[in-house]
Amino acid sequence: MADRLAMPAAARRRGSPVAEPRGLKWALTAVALLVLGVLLLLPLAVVFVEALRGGVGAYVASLLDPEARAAIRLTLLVAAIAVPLNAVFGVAAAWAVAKFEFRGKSLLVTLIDLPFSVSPVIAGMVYLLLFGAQGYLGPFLQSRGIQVVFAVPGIVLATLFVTVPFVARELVPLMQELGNEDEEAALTLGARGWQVFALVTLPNVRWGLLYGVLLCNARAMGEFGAASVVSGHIRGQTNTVPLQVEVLYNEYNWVAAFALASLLALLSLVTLVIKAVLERRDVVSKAGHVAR
Amino acid sequence: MSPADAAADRGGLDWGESVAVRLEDVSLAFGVAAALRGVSLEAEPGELVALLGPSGSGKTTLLRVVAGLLTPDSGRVWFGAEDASRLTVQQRNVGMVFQHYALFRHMTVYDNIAFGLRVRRRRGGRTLSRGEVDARVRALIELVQLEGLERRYPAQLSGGQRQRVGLARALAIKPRVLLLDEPFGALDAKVRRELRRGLRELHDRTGHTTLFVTHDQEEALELADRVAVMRDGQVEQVGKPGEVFDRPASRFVFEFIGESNLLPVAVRGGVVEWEGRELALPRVDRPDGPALLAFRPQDVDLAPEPARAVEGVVAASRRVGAWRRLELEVGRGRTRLDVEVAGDAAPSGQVAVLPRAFHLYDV
Repeated sequence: MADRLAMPAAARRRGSPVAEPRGLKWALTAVALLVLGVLLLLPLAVVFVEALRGGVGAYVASLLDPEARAAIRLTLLVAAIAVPLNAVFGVAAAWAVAKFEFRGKSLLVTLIDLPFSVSPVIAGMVYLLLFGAQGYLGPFLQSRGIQVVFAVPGIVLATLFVTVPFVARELVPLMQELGNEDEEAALTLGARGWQVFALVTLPNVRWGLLYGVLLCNARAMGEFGAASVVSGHIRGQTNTVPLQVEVLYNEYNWVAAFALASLLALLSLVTLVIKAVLERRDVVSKAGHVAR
Repeated sequence: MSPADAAADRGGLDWGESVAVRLEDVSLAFGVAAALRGVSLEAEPGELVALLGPSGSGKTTLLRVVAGLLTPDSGRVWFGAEDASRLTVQQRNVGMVFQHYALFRHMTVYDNIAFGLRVRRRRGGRTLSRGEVDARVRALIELVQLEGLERRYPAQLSGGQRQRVGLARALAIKPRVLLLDEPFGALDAKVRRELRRGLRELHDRTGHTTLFVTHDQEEALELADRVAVMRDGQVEQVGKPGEVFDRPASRFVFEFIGESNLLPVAVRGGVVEWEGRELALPRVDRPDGPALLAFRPQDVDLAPEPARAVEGVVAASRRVGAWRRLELEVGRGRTRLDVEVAGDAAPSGQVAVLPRAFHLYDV
């Protein structure tokens, strides 16, 4: 009896010694669910509810509107340029950082992270300053008929800036952890440089790369701040989906605004699902029970 | 005997031609610390040479220089009559087994072994056909006894199996030289012993010139034709296992290979003196002065004349099979000695011993 009394309350209930009392457990869970519900799930639900307020017909009609279609096309175009470029840059940067020792390496790593710490609006302003009509390079480019700001190139540049870290940040730690031995083994077996890269390095990091590309894509399509500054909001020409949503919202065209917004919401949901699948795949292949 | 017969003799597979490896005054510095300092070493065709030394002695660096993964600051590497220093890693055609095997984790056992054949299908002026690659991979899988595991991924194999995949992958390219970096380092003791025997048998069948790195003296002495003991980026001694064990060239080698006792003594006129008393040992050819008397626990007898022997007190006594192991505290400095004596009788109290075989080193 005496030692039963000496035992902590949780242990007496056959639970693990680190388990919290039941009341606390429920309270914590409730708080977490409430926050999750109010801050995340409710807004997401509102997007779809508002989008479908006018019925399915109105929803489809606002997506088929020429301006909406132009915005979707532009968003896809920007992502189609920015994501592959960032993937290439990310792989190259991660390769350099993980496999070689060189001067200024830590500076490079810090620079890659810069867009995370700089407000996107500032990124947009910088491009405006560089390429705008009164900017450093603007007159030179304009005299040759190249329009950067208030045109697609500007939006692509701004998006590139904002999405630079995604792939590189995913790959740098992964490649550092993997080390050089696999590559060295491939070299001794007679593989040439590009064979080593294509057959050994890339497959080793493929899930990390996909993961980075996925996040990069989500950000590229959803980018608002930097794109907003350099876009000029020319309807049907330089409005990406997020920018078009804002325009429509400001005109009190709620159904159309939320219909377009629902596309972005869907994108994020799909991204989340693929991300979860990739993460599971990664865990499984590390544990070594993957059956292909 | 035709070359084809010779190939058949070596296990039915053509292993490629093994060459002599010669390192000529190889030096390599990483920053301030010298990793290799003028290393010269030779391995005959088909010889199994162990690079033995503590960590940081430069043995793995040496192996990587031979492979071409590191470029020495000076010195040359010869494969037979060919200056391998001029060849790239790929051209050197060495089979390397890495300490952690470095298997390609996204490839099956089969694909791992086939890798070298696929990336470099041109061999001897002609291209290996798909069928030839397949035949060779299957033969190698059989050789290292991995039948039935062809479709497994490295993560699904035990440590010993992974090591054999690494070995088969290295052998696939008909290497001129086989390099093994701590081949048993990551395995438990029982698997180590099994694989050690397996490697020796495999070497007898394939006859590759082999350099292998180890810090385990027992492994080196058991497996190798010759042992190169390394220390601080230099080769301290090279010799057959028996030579290195029986005639260590330096105190370092003596202490590194096998158990050792070191007793401070003095030499005067060829006589070994310990704490003022002459020991009943053979006369030595050594200038007068202080020295260290070095001997192994197994090389000790109980002395019939205590006055001319090393006398001490038994601190501990354990029976080990047919032998008894004593821990003695001798002399004013209470130096600890490990000795093995025959017999059931447990000596206690005062004991006098003399080494049958000994070496003298500078203090």
